[in-house]
Amino acid sequence: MMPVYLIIPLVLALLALAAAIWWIRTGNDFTRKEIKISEALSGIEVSLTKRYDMLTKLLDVTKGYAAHEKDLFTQVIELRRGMSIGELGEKTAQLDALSNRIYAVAEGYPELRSAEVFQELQAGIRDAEDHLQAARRLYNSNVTSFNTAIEVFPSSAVAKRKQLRRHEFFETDAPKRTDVKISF
Amino acid sequence: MTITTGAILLLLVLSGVLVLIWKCLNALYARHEKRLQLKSETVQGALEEVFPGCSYDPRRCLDREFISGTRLINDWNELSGNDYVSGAYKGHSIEMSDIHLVKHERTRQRNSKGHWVEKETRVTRFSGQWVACKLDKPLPGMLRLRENVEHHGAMKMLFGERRRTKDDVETENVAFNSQFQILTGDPHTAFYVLTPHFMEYIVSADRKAGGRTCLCFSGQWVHIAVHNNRDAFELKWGNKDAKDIPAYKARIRQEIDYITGILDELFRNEKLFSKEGT
Repeated sequence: MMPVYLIIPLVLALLALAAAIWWIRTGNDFTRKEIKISEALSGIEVSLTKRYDMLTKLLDVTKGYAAHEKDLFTQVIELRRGMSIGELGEKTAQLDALSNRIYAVAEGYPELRSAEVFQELQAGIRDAEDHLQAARRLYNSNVTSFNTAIEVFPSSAVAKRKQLRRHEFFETDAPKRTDVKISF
Repeated sequence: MTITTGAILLLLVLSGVLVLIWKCLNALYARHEKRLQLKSETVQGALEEVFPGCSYDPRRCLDREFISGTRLINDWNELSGNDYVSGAYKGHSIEMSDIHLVKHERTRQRNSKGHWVEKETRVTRFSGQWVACKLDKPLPGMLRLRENVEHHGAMKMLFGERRRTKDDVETENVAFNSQFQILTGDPHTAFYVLTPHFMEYIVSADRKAGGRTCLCFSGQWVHIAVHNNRDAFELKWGNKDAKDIPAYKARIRQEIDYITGILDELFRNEKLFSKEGT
């Protein structure tokens, strides 16, 4: 039988080993979650770029029918790689406003609305918007998982040590969130 | 002489019994064929109303490769089924049949003499309706949804309403996450397919299923499998169904109601399942 003075250090050593393994695993989990967040962020970028390209083409087609709608064609929206989540939200809102304006202008031009290329681009934009929505929800889901792990004990201890910070959610633009007012 | 008469009598009785058995078997076979014909005609008629131009074969089932390709049900080695239907639902090709998936297991057990003997047991892995619907647009990734097993009694109190499983993604719908295991290698496709409205519908419609529902989105096909241990479109014992065909037809339509409801919900999102999207 093993003497008591050997059992205690052995148990302590085993506990220390278990704690070290847990610490490494939790740290790796945080790294994996951060990778997932950045992947989801690039998904948003890809969807936003696709939507931007489609809207640019739609704008060109609209120009052919409604060249005198000057203020529609003067607005410049620029996308660049590696935008922050705040900037991505801002660009999304700008693209929303632009697409709304294009559709409002198109209302006055029935030939434009019935043009095959316009309808195809409109369908493409709708699909790009669906992809953007999916990318946004995936990103927010990953952020929720990461932020929860940061706050909940005992993983919060690892997060504190690694100086991890909460990630920002990708919010929808303010006008969309407000209630729609209907007056008769 | 007495022995010969006895033998002849015995022979006559035996012949009579054999003829009787033969007649009974013939009558049973004729009855079975008649019931099958009635079932075929009624089911075909009822399904025509939902799936115009469909074809129905009561003896066939979906292909083995088609089922195994989804990887919705694990660990089975025998497939059987019947009531195969092929047709179109709201412009989309569909195929469906009853499916029974069984796993043959060899176990070692002690017999009454205390010796170890090998025994083969059959474990049902899936039994119910399996529907596959062709979508107009192929999805880039595969998504599988498996309904988690429900807990009852003390298990429910201790471990919650359902057995927890490892998911590849977690959606914003807590009830959906708890009800289904979500398996995918492409989380973006998962979120693209699982719209908030679709998840709400699946959760609320589950009561109608009467069993566990599994869904698989793979390429251009969506598979819906309902493990409810029911044999669809079957005639009731006796002549009850034959006497009341409208009630039988209504029951058939009710049996496919849950499946068509899910399909309707999928088609509602035209952008997701139409040719125009890329």
